[in-house]
Amino acid sequence: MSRLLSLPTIAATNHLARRALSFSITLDPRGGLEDEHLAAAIRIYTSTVLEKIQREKADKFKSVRYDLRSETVPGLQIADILAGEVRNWFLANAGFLDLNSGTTLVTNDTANNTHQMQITGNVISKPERHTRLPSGLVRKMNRATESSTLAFFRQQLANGLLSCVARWGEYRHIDFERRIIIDSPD
Amino acid sequence: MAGPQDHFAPGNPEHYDLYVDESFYRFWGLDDPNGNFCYLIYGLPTSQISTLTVSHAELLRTFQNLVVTKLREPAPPELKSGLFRRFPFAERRRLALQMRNILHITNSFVIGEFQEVRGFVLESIRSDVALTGGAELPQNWQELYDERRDQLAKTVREEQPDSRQSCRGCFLSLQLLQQIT
Repeated sequence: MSRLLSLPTIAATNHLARRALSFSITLDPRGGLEDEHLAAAIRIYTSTVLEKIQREKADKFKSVRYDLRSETVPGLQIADILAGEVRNWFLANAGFLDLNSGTTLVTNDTANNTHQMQITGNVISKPERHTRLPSGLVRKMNRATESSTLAFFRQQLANGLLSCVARWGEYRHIDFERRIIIDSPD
Repeated sequence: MAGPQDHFAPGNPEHYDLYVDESFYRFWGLDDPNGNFCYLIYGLPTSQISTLTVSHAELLRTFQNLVVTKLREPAPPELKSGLFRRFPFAERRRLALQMRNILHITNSFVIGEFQEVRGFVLESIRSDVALTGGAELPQNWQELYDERRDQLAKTVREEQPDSRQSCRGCFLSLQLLQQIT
């Protein structure tokens, strides 16, 4: 559970590592020991990611707090509303989970694109599978509906991406700008 | 369509505050394949907190008025998704656009992820198949699913960290940063 709940902060760490001076994390408190365990996991995972990206300068992560009530923190309230909109968007648009999802693994052989990434100064090439979104899904992607207003916030998505695990378990990014889905190798 | 907003102003890097919220439905027992888990991070440059505070107060007033007039309930002390969902779409739309404007003027960004129990369990099986050089989930995937679901449910109950999975999580998340940059 700690790992799963730590994933978002790992993602944010990656997003900020080369762009921000530093960052702090505030969690919506669940209470007691659970928050302490989660905070400890976040400290470990966040530092690990920073060490990979920054090498010895893993100093950007400043703190994690879980002692603030959401009614006193506007940022937590906005996160609460948007989390609901993300969930309802996926529930209403299952096609993004189903498209090109199946029993075939994403491997070097089935990937159709190469993404280059830089880790600790080295450029690493990684295969990935791109699938162009059909026009029906593009329309759903760009239109706020009764089900979800997420489309209004697409330009606020970090790197224009929304992430999910697809129906058959592929780790997937939905690229709102390029109108493709990006599946990572298994 | 315009590209994603550049959330990072040129010049000196800033300190950011990240606000994390998660939402789950019938997820943790892993019994319901359609149970789901969703998280969201709202990232705000610390220099924009005063702007957010002022804008949020205005948004909250509108929200509270809608709860009173549309839902016939007492004004809540904070924005809540459960109440937001119950507004008529026209009001939700108006509030969402107001919130989008706040995110825009404060150079904020959003990170979100969604997964269902079914995908969560199958992702774990796929990783194992890949490690053994396989290219396809086996025909008996349902048996493997049931076994793996029970294992994962036990792990979740016992809170045992799994270092291999953690590394995978780190690696996958790296893509979020580097997909476009």
